[in-house]
Amino acid sequence: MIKVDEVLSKYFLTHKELIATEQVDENNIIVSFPLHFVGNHRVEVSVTETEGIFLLSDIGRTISELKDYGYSVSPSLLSRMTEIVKPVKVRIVNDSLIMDCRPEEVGGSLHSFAEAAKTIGDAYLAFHSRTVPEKKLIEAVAETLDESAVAYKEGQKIHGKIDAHSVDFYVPPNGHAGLALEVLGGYNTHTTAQIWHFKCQDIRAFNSMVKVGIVYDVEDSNWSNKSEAILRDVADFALASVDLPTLSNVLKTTLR
Amino acid sequence: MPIVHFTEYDARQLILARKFTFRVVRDTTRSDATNSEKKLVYDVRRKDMPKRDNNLRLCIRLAPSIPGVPKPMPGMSLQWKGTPIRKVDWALRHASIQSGVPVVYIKGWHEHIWTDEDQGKYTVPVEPPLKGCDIQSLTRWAAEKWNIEMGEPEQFDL
Repeated sequence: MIKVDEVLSKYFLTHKELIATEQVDENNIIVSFPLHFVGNHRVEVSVTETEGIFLLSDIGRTISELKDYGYSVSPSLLSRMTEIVKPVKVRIVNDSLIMDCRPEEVGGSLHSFAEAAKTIGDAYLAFHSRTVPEKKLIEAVAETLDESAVAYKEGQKIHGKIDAHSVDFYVPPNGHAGLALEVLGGYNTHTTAQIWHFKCQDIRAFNSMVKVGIVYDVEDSNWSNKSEAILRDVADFALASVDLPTLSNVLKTTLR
Repeated sequence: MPIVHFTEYDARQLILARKFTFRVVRDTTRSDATNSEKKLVYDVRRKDMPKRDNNLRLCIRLAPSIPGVPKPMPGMSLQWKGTPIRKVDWALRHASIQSGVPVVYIKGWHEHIWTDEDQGKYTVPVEPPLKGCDIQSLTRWAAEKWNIEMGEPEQFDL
């Protein structure tokens, strides 16, 4: 028969082995949590005793990690992060997550604090990575471009009339039509389609010689009929990933 | 996390190449305010292609501190097209990941090395050890380890 105490004691033992702590001085300790990550780093929290109150801080690590990954931490991003951590009474002061608690509450507070830091990491770092089908699709598009002997640059930022836009593939116009080609996938596909409606128009408004093509992943992402209609309406071509074998013919027509 | 357009081999070759600091892109280290972020960003270029901006940046940053709590440690990264190919920072405990599996735990200063399999998750202890925990010590370490000549911006014009 499975025993609760046995399972729990093993869980606590493992947790105790994995957790790391350091006594910085008589008022400060640092706790490193084994199962909570922000980016590539464990969540590490300092606990400071000051006048009978415990002050918990992430020592500025969470926002530093975001900045290392290229986020410009603007006031609007800060306010969104503040909303994320507010329910567990964590504040953001001077780029650090901060929480204060009474000594008897420190156990629960440490848990809540680590969760809050991890949630920010998940929201802004984990879910922004490209999905495997999307990465494979990019590779397949690159192969097709190579086979079609199209000279292209990968991961380029190009001008629009109003804004600059990052695209996965860029074929500069050189007497003939150019091409900005983007592979789309992931979450919030309808919003993505709406965004690309603007991007297509903005890119062409800056240089009418640049055509805009879109290949969208249908293996792992759900596109509604309306979302697909938006893409097809504005892009010079919008191909679902299942139609990728037709890309070489489409390229011939588009780049003429 | 942006998708990268280079391989581990490309990154390693770039580290081995002789490089120099072409210009300071951003420097907020001279601000006296202790509660403001200190950031130093260099435009780093290859010596054999001094006029070409490869989008290689050496970024050194110290987060603002809060009175009473432990002071943050500075961190440094060499970013190529926005992706850190090398990164140095401090952690009480950090797992080094190889082929998706934690192989060893590192305490203190460590260097993240960009690999095809694990991207920035593969780490090694900082070698040679840092001589201090300040921005200047990190900059000197990067210059030596990552083959970057730290010069005045005017040096290129000469």
